Amino acid sequence: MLLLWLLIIPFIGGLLCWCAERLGPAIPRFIALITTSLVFCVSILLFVRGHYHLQTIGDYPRWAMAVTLPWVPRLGITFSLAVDGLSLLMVGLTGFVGVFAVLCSWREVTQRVGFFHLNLMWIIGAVCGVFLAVDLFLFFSFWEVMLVPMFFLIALWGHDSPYKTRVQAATKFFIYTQASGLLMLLAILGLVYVHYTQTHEITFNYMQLWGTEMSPALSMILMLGFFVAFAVKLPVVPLHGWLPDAHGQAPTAGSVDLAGILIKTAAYGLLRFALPLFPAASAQFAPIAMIFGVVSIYYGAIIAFSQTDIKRLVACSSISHMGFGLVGIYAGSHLALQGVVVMMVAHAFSAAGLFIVCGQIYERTHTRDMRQMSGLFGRVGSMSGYSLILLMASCGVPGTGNFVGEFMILFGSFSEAPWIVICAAGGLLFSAIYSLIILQRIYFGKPVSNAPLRRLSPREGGMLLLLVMLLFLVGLYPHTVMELSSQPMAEVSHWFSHTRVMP
Amino acid sequence: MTLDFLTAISPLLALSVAVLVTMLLTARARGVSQSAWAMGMGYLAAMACVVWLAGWVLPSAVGHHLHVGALLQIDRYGLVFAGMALIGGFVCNWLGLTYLAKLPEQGDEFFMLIGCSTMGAVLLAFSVHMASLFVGLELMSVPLYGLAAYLFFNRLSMEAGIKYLVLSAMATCFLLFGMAVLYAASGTLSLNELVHSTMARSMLGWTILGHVGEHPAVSWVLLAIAMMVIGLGFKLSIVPFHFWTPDVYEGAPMPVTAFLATVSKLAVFSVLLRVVLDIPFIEPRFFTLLSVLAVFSMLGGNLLALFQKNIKRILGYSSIAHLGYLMITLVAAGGMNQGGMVDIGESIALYLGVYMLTALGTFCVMTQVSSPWHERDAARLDDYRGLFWSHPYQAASLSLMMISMAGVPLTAGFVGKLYVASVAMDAHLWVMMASLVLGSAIGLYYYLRVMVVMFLPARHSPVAMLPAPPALTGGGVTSAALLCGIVITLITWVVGLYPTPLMALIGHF
Repeated sequence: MLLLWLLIIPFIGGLLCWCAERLGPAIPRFIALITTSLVFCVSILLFVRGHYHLQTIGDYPRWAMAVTLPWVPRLGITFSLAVDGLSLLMVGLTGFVGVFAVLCSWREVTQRVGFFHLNLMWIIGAVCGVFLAVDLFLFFSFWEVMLVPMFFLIALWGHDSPYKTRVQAATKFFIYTQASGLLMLLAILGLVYVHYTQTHEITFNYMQLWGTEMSPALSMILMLGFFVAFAVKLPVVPLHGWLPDAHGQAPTAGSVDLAGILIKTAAYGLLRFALPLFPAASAQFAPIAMIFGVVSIYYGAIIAFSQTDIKRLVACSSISHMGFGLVGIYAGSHLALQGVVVMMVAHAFSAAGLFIVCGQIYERTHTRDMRQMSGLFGRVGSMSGYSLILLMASCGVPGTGNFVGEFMILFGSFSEAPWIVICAAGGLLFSAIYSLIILQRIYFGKPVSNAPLRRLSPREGGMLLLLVMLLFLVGLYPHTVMELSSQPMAEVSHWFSHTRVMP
Repeated sequence: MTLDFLTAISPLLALSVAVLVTMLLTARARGVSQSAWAMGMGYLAAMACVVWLAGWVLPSAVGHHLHVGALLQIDRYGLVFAGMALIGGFVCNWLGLTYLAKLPEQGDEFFMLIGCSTMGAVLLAFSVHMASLFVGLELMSVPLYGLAAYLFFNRLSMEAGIKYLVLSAMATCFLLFGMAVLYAASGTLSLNELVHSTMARSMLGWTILGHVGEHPAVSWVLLAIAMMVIGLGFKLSIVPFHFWTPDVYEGAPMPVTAFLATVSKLAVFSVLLRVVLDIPFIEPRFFTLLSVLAVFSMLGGNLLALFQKNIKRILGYSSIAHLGYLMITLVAAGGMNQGGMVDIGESIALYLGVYMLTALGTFCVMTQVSSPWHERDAARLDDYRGLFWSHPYQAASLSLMMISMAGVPLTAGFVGKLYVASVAMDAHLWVMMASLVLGSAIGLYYYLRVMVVMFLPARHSPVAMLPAPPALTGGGVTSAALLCGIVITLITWVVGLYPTPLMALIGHF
């Protein structure tokens, strides 16, 4: 029942926001704040109630809590939700980032506040659904549904840039992800069909489709269907075209959501579906996937370096970071997978923080072009300090969560793919370069004017302070995160390496 | 025996009585409202007959179907399609009321014509004989010529009517010639008997022996089928025969466009389905032909819709694409050994039903913001700028319809798409599946365009200048379309969220 609340709260909360608009612009904001906080609280409650310690590893994932309701019996579709350490972590992150998304748009969004928060809440709800669903049909539904409110967020509250309108960016985002989603749908149907030919039973249930026997070629095709959908969302380099545009044009809250949780759904999907359902094919595909990861690391860093728009820069940097994630996921060792989880959490904090900073700079200077904002240091108060810490985190300085994640990924993958790791490690250098260049371009140099800008308000400062503290917490004491994800990651690693030994 | 006949054709009888009554009422006093109500009751009665037939008469009938001579066969498929055609006609009827309410005269005939046309559609759904097929098709089409040109003072409408008349007549020629050739080759006009006719048997033998094309009768049958496909393809507007679609859609009055896009397609498709299902000896090459047409329709329809600036034209092209998706099921029906994951008949009925629902929902909204007195219907994308901020409910409904047409999960459209994709998977139609994905991806672009436009800030748009929401302030008469819109929107949403009841209904029908 607790799991259902995670879906009900945001969807109902969103509707309330919309209805409450007529009462005044502040009401929807408060409702949204309460809603996201409730989501976060429910995930804390789940954490308290469930057992997430490392136990024996069986043939099936060990759920801490599960709920199944009938939905479309004719096609074997059930409404099943389940939670284990990984999903719990992600849901908690969703609620947390959701709170920040609401907070950071407090002053930015002034028009159609209710509808804005409706979309925001529905994104949160759908993402929770993605993280909880263990019926492939349900998963796919949420996967696609989360695009629609995101589309509106970008198309209606985004910014037009000189060379691209926000509607174009939103449409590009939608088409990229929807088209790749259709491939995943076909892969899901294929899997169901194969299962049907063997057992004469139609089912979309994750647990029942588990271990369906199929030929290696077919398994590879179906795995690729899943992979492409997740690779678009992650994004992996040849499929990344939508991301800089979407981030560049999205409102701050949209970017925070997009970087903080939406792209994490892709990594989650790989860990939950692509690897466990097709372990052999995934193992076979792993070297190629890792090469894609390395290419993403370098390519993301290089295009980040050449951006002049600060939000696009941060967006491109997340391509680079997710490249590390991809390498770690397909390395498949327990350490590397744990590293991926820590990195996802840390990246959610650091990317959310950086996008919030971008939004705050934009509110003050009314430009996101870095060429027009040199010398901000001393004009914006403590913001430059926070930016420094967030950028240090983003380039993986020890003490921050990102360092722990990246270090574990590289360390854990080394035994599997030493050359890949050596190449990937070089990417860290690039991330240091583009991180420093942001600081250099924005805060130093000749100031455009000497007039002091508005200092950080308690709301803005508090958000950044909290994020920075969390980054340090994850960096200095990653144990909580790792303990939560230990069981699911050990399972994934076990199934994955199990088939690698015996192909 | 006679009573049985009357029972079997009771939906048709109900509709014809309604048309006659409406005509008599008109002789006494004219008024759109009265005609719409009279016809509306007729549709309801006909629907009641359909439900009665399906629920009580058919289960006790021999072989679960009734025959009316050699011409009609009342069975489950027929009833599902007839029911859908009646619902479509019913909705178009009320759309007509909203649309024509402001026209001072000549409004009544509209409802009778729509009624006749619906009658044709119902007849088509039941027909198993070339003669009844032809009568049904013409009964459906001929009123549509008049309906398309109903606003004769409007140049576009006139053009649409004439264009439809000329091209439709040509298509009918092809169809008739095809039938004649088929008769010459097989010696029968009944679809049921075609299977059993000796000629057919011998042809079957010839096909199996691999002497395809050598026996003259085989070439004749191929020729006949090709001509019939041209004739029916025109009505369905599948790709090489689609040229009339956007122009006629654009010019015809809004409710008529709705009828053309839904009921007329649905009825013709039911005929095509019967031909494919009932004639198992049909050449494999026929299915290759269908596949090619399907792929062309899926890709062509979507590509052509991309840069349209008029929603009616967009819907025209989108209907081409949707028919393309549907033809996947036809091809699967031919090449398929029974017993796949999903039932093909159910998939077709579901997809058509969902498509009809979303198309009607779209037209409901568009009818509410259009009026026959304007130079043209409010169908340009620009007309809809800012609709969300002035009429949030209409815009939300239209958005839902667009999302549903695009096939996003948790809307009705996705259920249809899921079925079609499963059928394609069952029958291993990989090329078709690839085109389905590609077509849907392309299609997203224009559906999204329609959606986004409504949320953009208004720019002195004609809709805003229309007498402030006509549908909302117009009182009882004009709110008909609004009511239909609300009901359809709710159904689309509920079906998307919880499709089980609808599946059960169609599956058990």
